[in-house]
Amino acid sequence: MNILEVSDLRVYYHTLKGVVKAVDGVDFTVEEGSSVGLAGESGCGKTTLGLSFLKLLPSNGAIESGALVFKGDDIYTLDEKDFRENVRWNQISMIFQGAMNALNPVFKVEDQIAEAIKLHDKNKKKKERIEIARDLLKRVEIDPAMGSHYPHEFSGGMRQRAMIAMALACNPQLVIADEPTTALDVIVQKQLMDLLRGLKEDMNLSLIVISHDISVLAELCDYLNIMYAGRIVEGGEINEIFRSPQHHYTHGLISTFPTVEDEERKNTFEFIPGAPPNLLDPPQGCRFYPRCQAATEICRQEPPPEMRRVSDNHHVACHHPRGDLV
Amino acid sequence: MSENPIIRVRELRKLFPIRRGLVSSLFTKEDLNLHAVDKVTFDINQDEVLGLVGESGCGKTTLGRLLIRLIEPTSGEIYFRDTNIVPLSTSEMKLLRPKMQIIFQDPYESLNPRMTVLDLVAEPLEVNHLIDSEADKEEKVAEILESVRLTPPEDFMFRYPHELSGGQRQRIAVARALIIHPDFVVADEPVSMLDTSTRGEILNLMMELKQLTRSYLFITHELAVARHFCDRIAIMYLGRIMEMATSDEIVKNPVHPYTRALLEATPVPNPAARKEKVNITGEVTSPINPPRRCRFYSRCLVAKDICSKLEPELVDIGGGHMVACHLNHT
Repeated sequence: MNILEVSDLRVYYHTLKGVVKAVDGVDFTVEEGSSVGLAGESGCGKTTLGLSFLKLLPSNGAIESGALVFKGDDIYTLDEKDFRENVRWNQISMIFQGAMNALNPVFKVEDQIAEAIKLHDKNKKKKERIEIARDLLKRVEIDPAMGSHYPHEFSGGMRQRAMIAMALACNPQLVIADEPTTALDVIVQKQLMDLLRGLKEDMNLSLIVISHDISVLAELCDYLNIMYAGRIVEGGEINEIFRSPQHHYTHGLISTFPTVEDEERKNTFEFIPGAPPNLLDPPQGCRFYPRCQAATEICRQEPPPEMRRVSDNHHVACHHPRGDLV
Repeated sequence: MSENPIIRVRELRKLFPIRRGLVSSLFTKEDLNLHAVDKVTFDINQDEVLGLVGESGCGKTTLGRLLIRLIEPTSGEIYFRDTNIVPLSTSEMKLLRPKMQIIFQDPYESLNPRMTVLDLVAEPLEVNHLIDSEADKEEKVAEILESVRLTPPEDFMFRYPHELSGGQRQRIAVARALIIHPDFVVADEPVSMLDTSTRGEILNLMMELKQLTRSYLFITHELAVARHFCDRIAIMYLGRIMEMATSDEIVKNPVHPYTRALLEATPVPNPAARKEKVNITGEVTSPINPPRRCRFYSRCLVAKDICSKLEPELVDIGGGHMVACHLNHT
C-alpha cells in the first residue's frame, strides 16, 4: 500500500524577477514501510518538494496545483488548522537540513523536543512531555541527562540526533529527512545512517531521504527518484537504477561519484558539462538537453514524454533512454 | 620515491592560545592551547600531489596555510626547496610568494565581488610586477582563461563573480593561482562546495594544468576524491598525521585503526554493496590541551594499555608506508 501519493504537483515561488517553477509536475509515491530517496543537484527543487509535503513553504511559495494523498485521504485541501492538528508531526514529520542551525540556541534541547509535542498534541502535561523527550533522546542514543543542556553543548552529530528525536516526537508514520548527514564527517555520517536505518525498522517508519549525495541514498534507500530542474526524470527500485540507469542525467550523476573501492587510480574524472538551467526560464524541450550528449532535435523542441515504463519497478522520462537493460 | 622534495616539514607545530576570563585564570595557572597542528613531519616531492585527508577540525586547513606562511607556526621548520621559510622576513618571503599559491575552498567568498574577472585573475601578476602594459595584462589573462576553459575569454573578462556559476568561479580561483606558474600549490578543498556533476571538471582541469604546476598539497575530507587525485595520502587526526602512504596502499592496505574506520564509513555509490555498522565509537575529542597519549585512544576499539600512556611516533613500516600506531611496531 502507498502511504503517500503525490500527483502532478506544482510549486511556484513568486519573486520580483518572475515565477520560479521549483517543482513542475511531479508524481511521487511512497510505499508503506519503505525508504525513498530523492536525489538532485542544488537548486533542482528537492527541498521545496519535501517542504510541500508538510505544507511548510516560505511565504512567497505556494502549491499551484496537484494532489497530496496520505493513506487514502486528501491532505492538500485541509486548512492550516486541520493540517497542523492532524497531519503535521502526528503523521508526517521532517528532519530539517543544517542541524547546526536548526535548534534554538536559547532553549534546552529537551524543552525544544517537548515543544513539538505541545503544539501537536494538546492533551499531554508538561511532565509527561519532558519524559517523552528524554525517552526520545535515549532512542537516538544520547544520554537523556543531556536533555537539560543547551544546543551549543552538543556536538554536530548530537545536534542532528536531537533533530531526529524531535521529528519522532509525535509518533509519525512518515519522516522526511532533508540532507540528514550533509556537513557531518564521514564517521558521524555513517553512525547516523546506521541509527536511521535502525529506527525505521523499530518504529515501522516510512522514510523520504533528500540528498545531493547518491552514495548516502545508496546506503539508506529502497527506491530512488532523480530530480532535475523541477521534475523527476527517473525513478524506481534502487538496485535497478544503479545497475542500468536509463536517463543520461542519472547515468552522469552515478558515474561522477568517485569511489574508494576502485582497483585502479583514475586519471580523469567524469563530469556533466554545463550547469543546471535557471528555473525562471527553463529550456523549452527536455530540461536536460543542453547538457546531454545524446540530445537530438526532438529533445530541444518537445518536452520529454511522461514517465515511461522500463520495468514494473523502473520508470524514466527521456526521448532517448540509454537502453542496454541488464 | 624520488629524493627530491619541494617541501620539507619538520616538527611543525601551531598552537592557538585560548583566552580565558579573569576568574578562571585566577584559579588555574595552566595555559590552554588548541593544538591545531602538533609536531608534524613530512615531505612533498617534486611533481607530487600529496593528499591531506581528515575530518573537520583536524587541522588540515591550518597545516595548508602554514606551508605557505599565511599564518605563523608556533615552532618547527618548513623548507621550500633548500630555504627554511619560517625565519624569513616579510620582504624576503615576498620574493618567494610567486612560487607558492593557494586555491581556497569557497569560490563564493574567495573572489572580491567588486572586481571583474580580468582584475581578479591579473591581481597576482600586478602584485608581483609581472606585467608591462594593459595589453600585456589582457593577453596573459586571456591565455589562462583559455586553459581553464572559460572561452571565449573576452566573454568572461569583464564579468563580475555574481554572474558566474560555482564551477566557473572555482575555475577563476584556479586561474588566479596558476597564472604566475607557481612551483607549489596548496589546494584547500577546491571542490567541496561544488555540485558533484561539476566537480570532475575542476579536478580534470587541475590534472591537465600540471604542465604549469606539478606539486600540490591537496586538502580534502573525502577519501574517495583523494584516492584518485593524489599520488600519496596523509591521514590527519587531531593535529597529527596518523598514516601516510601511496594512495593505492592507503585504500588497499590501511594499517591504522582510524584509517580503517574512515574507509569503512565512506559510503559507496552502490546499493548492492551496503556496509556493516561502523566499528568506531564517539566523536572527535577536544584538541584543547590533549593528553599525552594516542590521540585516537578514546575511540579506538583495539587500544592497548600503552596507547593511553605514550604518544606513538610516525614510523616507516616498509616501502615508505608510515604509521603512528603502537600496535604495528612494538
